[in-house]
Amino acid sequence: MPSISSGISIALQAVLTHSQVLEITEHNIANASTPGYRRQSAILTAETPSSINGADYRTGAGQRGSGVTIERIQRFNLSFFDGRYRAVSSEAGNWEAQSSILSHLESVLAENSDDGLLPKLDQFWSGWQSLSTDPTNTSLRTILLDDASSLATAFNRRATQIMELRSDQNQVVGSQVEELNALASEIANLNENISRVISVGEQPNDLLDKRDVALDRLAKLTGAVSTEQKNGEVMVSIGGHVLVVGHDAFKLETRTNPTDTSVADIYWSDNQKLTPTSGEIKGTLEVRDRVLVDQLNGLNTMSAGLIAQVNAIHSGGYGLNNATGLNFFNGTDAASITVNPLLDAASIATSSAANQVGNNTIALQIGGLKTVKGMKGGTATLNEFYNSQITDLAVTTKRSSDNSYQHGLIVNALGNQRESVSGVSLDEEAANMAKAQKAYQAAARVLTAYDDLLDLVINRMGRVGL
Amino acid sequence: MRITNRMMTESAIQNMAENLEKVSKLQEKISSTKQFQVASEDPTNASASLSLRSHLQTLNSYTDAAEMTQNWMSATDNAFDQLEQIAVRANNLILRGLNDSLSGSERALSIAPEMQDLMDEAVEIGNTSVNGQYIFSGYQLNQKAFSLSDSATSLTDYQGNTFTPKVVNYLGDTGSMQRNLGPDQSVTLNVRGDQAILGFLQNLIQASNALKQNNINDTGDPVTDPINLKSTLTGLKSSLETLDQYRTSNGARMRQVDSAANFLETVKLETKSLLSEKEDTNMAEGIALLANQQTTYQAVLEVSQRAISALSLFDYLR
Repeated sequence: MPSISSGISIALQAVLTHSQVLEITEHNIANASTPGYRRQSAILTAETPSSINGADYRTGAGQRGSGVTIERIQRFNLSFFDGRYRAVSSEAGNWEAQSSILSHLESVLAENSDDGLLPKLDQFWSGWQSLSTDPTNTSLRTILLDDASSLATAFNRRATQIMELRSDQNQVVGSQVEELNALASEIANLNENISRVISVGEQPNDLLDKRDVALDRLAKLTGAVSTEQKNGEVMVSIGGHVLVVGHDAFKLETRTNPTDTSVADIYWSDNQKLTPTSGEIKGTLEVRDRVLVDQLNGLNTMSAGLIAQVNAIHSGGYGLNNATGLNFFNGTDAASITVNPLLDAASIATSSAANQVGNNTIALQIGGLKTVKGMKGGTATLNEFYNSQITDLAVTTKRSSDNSYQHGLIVNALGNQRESVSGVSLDEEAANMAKAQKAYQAAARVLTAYDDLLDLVINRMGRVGL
Repeated sequence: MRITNRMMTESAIQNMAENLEKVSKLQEKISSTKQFQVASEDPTNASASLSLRSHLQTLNSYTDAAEMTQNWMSATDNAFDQLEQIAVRANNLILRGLNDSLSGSERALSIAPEMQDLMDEAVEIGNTSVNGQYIFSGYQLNQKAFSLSDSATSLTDYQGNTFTPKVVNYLGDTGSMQRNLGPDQSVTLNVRGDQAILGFLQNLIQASNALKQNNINDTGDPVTDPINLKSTLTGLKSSLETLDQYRTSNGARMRQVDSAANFLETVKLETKSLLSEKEDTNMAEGIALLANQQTTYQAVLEVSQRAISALSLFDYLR
């Protein structure tokens, strides 16, 4: 049987429910630009109806409604998008990392400017060519020595820069591992809180948002994949090795590589080596351990070739002062190449025999090395060798920046799809707000009606004729 | 698709950034006049431009070598020209000396000194230098090609007095200097003094000696009459032929160098234009593209401004 008090209780329930809805709308608006925030919405449902009993029983009326309540607060999220988004974003992370290091390398080397190694090498060859046309000219000899030492410095500078860039990347790897460990323990922590909330039957929406942000970042960093379990916890793994399970996170650490002490490798706490399949760490390692090493090796091969080829001819020649048997270059690789300090202008060998100052055979031969195919098993000249190395680097850089751009586009598109489902639309919230406000107002009016009824019953009933 | 405010803002920001990047790339291309700043922007052309630059540098060296060679060879030709003039004058002197009406003293005192002068002059010319380098000395660039010294054996003059004749020595060597005018093209630079000039100088000394000795005709006695004036005439003729022969070959090589130099200039021009094609910005095209891109950017700004500051429902709800 209806009663005033149950009516008041329905109205009160409605006022409370709609003020709760208003609060949820407020929460959405407040977090409209919070990264990783998924919009929430109240799912309203009618309260359990009560059967009509007593005198009215079987009078034909059905069950009596008992008002509204919030069944749950829904979090708009499509985990299917999350998986795809993370897979692409880890690829994008990989290429972004490579592209940014390589563009840096390319602009530091500045091979296409006058400061490039090839212009200096050409300068060196033409130094010999000019000297061959005028072998007794001391100023040409001095110029050649200058050109040669600036060539040697150019080699040294490149070797140093590549090695510095490598040790920079080594530090980057170190801080990436730190970030990874921090993310892993954050996720483990959140796992614990989330499972606790879920176990009491509630929805930990904002905690889930936080965990998704951490998982997004982790995927971009290492290509980690996650699977959600029934209790709401996620299990995270990198390349088949578990990183987070339940409330526990496995630690990663860097250990100096025994064969190449300038870099550190990443190990799990159980001594397995980490092999990231994608992500920023993979990109950084790829550049540090492959591209930069290739560049340095190429530079070393080339400087060794130059040293060997020039010295072989030079040491058999005679200078103006009949000095002979001198090496032109000292050193064995790009970092150590220098012009022989014992060599002065007069002892540069140009002649193939003693006491023949006009004999330019040696100068011609060394100048002619420019066109001698002495590299790559006799298929390339020194110039061609370095040209192809620069081009290799350029192609790698271009590929990584193109890939980074394209994966960036896909990440954006997927991000937009995710945003489309879970982002906050202010217009929508305005409408929801208006809806909740009207419902609240209406419920309040109902309360006022009951107030009138009570007033009638309590204050005015039974006072007939007064 | 459900569109949220954040999507609008973010895509507006991204579009602005992308367009601004394009504008900046075009501006960079125009202001640097280069199509690419780093090789990765255009690896193929960058690689081509590197090898073209290297090629150009080589061509410049060859051009320098050709110029140097031309100087040297024209100095050589000049020396030969003067030597031939001396040869003509020496020839005339000998013919005068052979004149029967002359007395021994006239030959020894008026013609012989003149011959001596010619010889000194010829030795001077044989020691011609270019940039301080003696051109007839083979590899011995710092060494004069010829020197005169006193002979060990003395001769008797027309009065029966002994005198010490001069001998000419070649101080150079047999070096033949090669200059490269291209990767597979080399040319011999120098003419060796001992091959081309030495015989001529010896002829002049012999003529001078014969004049002093008043030794005109072959008396048939090789001991007292080793070389007479008449036979020096034949000798002079043959050494003049030698001079001429080396001068001609020098001239032929000069023509070779000239044509090589012309060829180098043509190739240089072609290489430069090829290089420019590979790496230089086409200004007209670049500026047109920039103007176009700026218009686009302006439109993007206009649209973005509306997207970001778009009215929302909140503005209409009371």
